[in-house]
Amino acid sequence: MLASWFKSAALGLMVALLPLAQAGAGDVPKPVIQKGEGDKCVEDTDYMRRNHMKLLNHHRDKTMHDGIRTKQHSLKGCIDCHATPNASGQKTVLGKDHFCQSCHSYAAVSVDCFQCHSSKPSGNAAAQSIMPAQSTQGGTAGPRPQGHARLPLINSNLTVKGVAGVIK
Amino acid sequence: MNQFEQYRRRFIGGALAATGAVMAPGVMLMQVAHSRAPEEGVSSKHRWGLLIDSSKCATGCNDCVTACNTENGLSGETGLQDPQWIRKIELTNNNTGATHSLPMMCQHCEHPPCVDVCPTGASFKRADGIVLVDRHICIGCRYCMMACPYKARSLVHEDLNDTQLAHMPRGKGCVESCTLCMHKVDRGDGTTACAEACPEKAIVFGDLNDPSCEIAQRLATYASKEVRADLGLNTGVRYTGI
Repeated sequence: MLASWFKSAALGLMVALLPLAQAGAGDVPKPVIQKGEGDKCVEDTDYMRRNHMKLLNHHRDKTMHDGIRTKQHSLKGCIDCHATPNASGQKTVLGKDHFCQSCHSYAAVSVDCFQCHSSKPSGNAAAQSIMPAQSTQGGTAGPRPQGHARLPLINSNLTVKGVAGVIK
Repeated sequence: MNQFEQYRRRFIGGALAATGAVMAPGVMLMQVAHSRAPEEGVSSKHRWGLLIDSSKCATGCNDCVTACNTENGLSGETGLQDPQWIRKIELTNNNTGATHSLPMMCQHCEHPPCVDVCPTGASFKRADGIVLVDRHICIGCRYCMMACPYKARSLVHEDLNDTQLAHMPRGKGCVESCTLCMHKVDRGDGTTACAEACPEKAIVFGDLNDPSCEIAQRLATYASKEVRADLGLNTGVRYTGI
């Protein structure tokens, strides 16, 4: 009897607090998402929002250890398309309202990439644009060439989406 | 067209086809040797290296070092804590007074001591023989710097403040060294910044495993030396004239 009273009281409290919580969420400014170059990203936007970090981690190991420099999931590719000019005209993905930092600030997730990687696009960014995606499906098709023992998982026939373990 | 003409045409056509069959494998080999598809990984078929002719290397010339700094975004400072990927070394024979000058960089050993000692697996050798640091894994402990007999590695002590180049990520707290211009190798340039810059062509880049490569031919023809050959590291960078 007492327990059910507690339950209904707790429920009432939650219902009472709900508008407060919603009002609180409204105080955080939404991230400014500037449109990148080209028509569409290398994967669906929803997919990229949830999984870009997995794709990047996967690609970085392939590039570092196997010298595979495909452009589809490369960080350089992201920056080349998503960098936008700052006050001094330099294209970058860092800074308030710029592509990477804007979302990461909103989500309160630190982005460590740019401790080492340049946040500016490579010189001939326009020429290297990969936005008119040639093959957006499948990711890295085929078995990974033998080479380094660090990534046994990727040695199998998995696609990038499979590796990322995503429920779409 | 008479019958003779028909025979003649058939003969010439056959001869051309035969020539094509003979030529095609050769052409293919050249392509495989000098570039690979972007989605294709590096393989141990190649072993990239340098051959440095110290008799051509001029005392006081710093062009290879400058080119390396420009290519990889290094500051060019030579203080105790500044990263240096190539150091120019001046050698003097105490008995004869003869002097030599040579560039010293990561020797891209087949059995690299830096890889042996790395506690995290950040220091590694790529299948094509290039010895690298995976900065994603490097914790900056500097064991590899102590293990290297060539003083080839440097720790980045200071924040680089987003001055890195897009093709060469570098960062504070990580060890780094000559990458044998792997971004150029992966692109199929077939050369390194230092080799391109040398006015005397004293640095030759190439595939030690490919007998048709200039470097392999020179190594087969002339006497060359590994620095500290006694360590048995089988370096990828060789010197002549020392």
